[in-house]
Amino acid sequence: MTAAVDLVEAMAALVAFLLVLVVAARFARLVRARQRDARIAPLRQELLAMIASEDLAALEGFRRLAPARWRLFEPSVLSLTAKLRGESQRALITLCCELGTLERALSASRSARAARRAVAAEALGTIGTNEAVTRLSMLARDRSAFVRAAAVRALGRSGRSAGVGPLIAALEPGSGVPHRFVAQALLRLGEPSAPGLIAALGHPHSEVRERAAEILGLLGTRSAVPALLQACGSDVARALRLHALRALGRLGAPQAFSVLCEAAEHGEDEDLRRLAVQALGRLGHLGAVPILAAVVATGPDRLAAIAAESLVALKAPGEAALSELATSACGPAQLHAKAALVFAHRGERAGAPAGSELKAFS
Amino acid sequence: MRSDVGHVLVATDWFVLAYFFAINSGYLALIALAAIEFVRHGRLQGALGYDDTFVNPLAPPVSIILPTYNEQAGIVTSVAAMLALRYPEFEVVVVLDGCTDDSFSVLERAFDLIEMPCVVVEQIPTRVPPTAKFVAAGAAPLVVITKENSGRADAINVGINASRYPLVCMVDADSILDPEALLHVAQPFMDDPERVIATGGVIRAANGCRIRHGRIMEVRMPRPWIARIQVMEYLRAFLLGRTGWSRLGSLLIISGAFGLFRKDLVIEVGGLDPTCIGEDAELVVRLHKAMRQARRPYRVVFVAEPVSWTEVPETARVLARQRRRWARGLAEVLWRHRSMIGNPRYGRIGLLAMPYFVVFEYLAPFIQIAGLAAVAVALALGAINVVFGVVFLLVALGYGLLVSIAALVIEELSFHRYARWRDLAIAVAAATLENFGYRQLTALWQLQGTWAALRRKRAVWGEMTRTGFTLEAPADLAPSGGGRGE
Repeated sequence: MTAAVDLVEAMAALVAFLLVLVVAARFARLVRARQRDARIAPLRQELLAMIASEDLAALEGFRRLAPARWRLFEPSVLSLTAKLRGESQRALITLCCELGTLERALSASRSARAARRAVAAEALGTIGTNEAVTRLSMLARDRSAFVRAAAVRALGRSGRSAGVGPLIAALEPGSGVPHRFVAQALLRLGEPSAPGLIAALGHPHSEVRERAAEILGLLGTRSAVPALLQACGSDVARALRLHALRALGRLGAPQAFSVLCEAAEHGEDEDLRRLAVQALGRLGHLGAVPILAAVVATGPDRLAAIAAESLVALKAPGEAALSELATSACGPAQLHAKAALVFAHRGERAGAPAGSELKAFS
Repeated sequence: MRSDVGHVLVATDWFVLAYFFAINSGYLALIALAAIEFVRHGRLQGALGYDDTFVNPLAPPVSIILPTYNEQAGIVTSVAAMLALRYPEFEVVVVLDGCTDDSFSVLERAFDLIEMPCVVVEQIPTRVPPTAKFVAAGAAPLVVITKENSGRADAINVGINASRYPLVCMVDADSILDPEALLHVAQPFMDDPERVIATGGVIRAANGCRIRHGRIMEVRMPRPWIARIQVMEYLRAFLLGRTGWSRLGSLLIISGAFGLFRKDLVIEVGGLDPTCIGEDAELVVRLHKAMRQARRPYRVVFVAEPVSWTEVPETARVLARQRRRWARGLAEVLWRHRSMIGNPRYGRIGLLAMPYFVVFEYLAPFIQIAGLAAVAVALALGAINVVFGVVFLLVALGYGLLVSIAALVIEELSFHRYARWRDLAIAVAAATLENFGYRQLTALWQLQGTWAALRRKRAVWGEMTRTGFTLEAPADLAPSGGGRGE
């Protein structure tokens, strides 16, 4: 019984302690926020005014800031730097380097705590000097998945072609970085990524080859067309062919026409045919109209629907073929053709009276 | 004889006290796990890469499925808010589940809908096929499906069949999502694309909040105490409890009000089960089961940051119906998947999560009511004295209060959504009041729900009488009216 009473007392004390903790935590947070705002807000305004007026010489004033105040201001400066380009960005990076931001980020990137390393990677990516990129290349192989992902994103943001090699290495299986992050980073680096990616089409790992094909399509590198056409050969693994077909469609390369027609008509599975059908729509070659119309008329449901959408992308000749199917075909083919036509013209309905005809048509 | 009865009653009281201790200790452990997760999340705040996801051309596109039944008053606001979410590529699929009000007309007027030939490939078998399909004129990625009424689960299955994208997000039509919600809840699919199969976002109470154009402008505590207590309950059970379970890799429940799933797997397991009243949890358990049986690596993740705001019941009658339904849903899920309970084949799900749900969720109302009755009878028979009875109650309720206040501490240190001091005081008062009547009543309602499940009584959703959000909006954005789900 006494033990139970003691327990009640202990609980009451604990509840009281937690209540004090809640109040103290809120009070401390509000005070901290107010102090930070008071110290940072004027600096932020001053910096934005300088950037807006391109009065970069006025940045000199920030060099005299007390180290503690600069450190408080540093995240705002880095965040702004990441959004800028050109002279203003370079001036802020120089300012950061002079005030020790790079050193601090490099030091934090060796911290035992993953969160500190990840945040440091973001800062290094914004600063983007050779030293920062070298360190980021190492962080892209960090033991923590979060740090690796942050480093890969930062390499993309750095804008340095030196980042291409480590990024392509991060496409390898076992690198532990989601390929979407790597792809985005390579896309951010732009054209300088292309030679490395074209070379990666011959990489020993199939995953790297497939991802490289996909990224080349998104990058819009015309010089990659011959290599991608080669990757569409019948002796190539199916997955690579899928990615290469998709990339060729995105690139809109006329040389790809016959390969895509062949895959759309005689591809060995629906996925392959679907990608070829989509790609033919993007390619804009009018020779594709009869092939796509045939797929709408005879293809399986999902494939027929996509072929109808591709015909819409081929403008008037494609729509004429769809109108023909909508009136003469029967069953799902007719429905797909009608659906594609209604969908294609739905924008007109919003502003033009022509829409009522479409409604009647459906 | 009387002495024997007395011994049994005293033993029962001690057993119930031990049970209360165990259940609250379990909660405290989950809260501690959640705290660890929030600290980690807070430290990574600057390196989570949400802005990168927003501009990533390879971010997986999402189909938001919005089943709705007679939500005429709020549907346009709700759809417009969904269409304004921040995410690279998504569509909103509204499924009008046999609405008898003007839901379709208001949508048609607001989004200038055009009828499409209704071509829907039935990847998941459905009870009722769609009757018509519409798209929005202009660029809004909106699809509206009409069908006869067949229940929420079937409506979602129809929506999944009509969806185009590889991820499906199930959202209640009366929910309000934070603008970044989709971005945050999809992030685990970006971070771990090979293993993440489902993610759930936290649900909070929208009652009392300032709302404008379908967006939460200011978070405030509701006015009725019954809703205030639910705010604390949601904080403890939804935010912290589920974060804890997620950290243990044993998350069993993703709320139907806001969950994101891999469509191929949902189709593979047959979609939501329209015969189960707890269809959301049942789907998650079925996914666990399928993945474990196939020995495929996977993760089901709870994301504490994106918030779906929902209106919680403000009357005892509506709350009672909700709690009976929840209890019934839980009972059905546990019964259907009883082979998983304690089965090592299902790993932590079979050995930890499901036994926990049986002992501390399913049986809790029985033991709570039995415990109170035993104390009362023991007091009446003189088997225990009044001091013992009072101390018993103080220990049992005090620990519950301690858990609630601990949850409040974590909320304050991590998200601090309720900014006003007044709301903090209300939260503390609600956490205290919860112990006097509310817990006991909800236990009674849960008991009734479980009893209905045992009797296999036909499930009825019932009308959720909504009092409506306090909207700061033009006249056409009126408070939501009658709905079905809560």
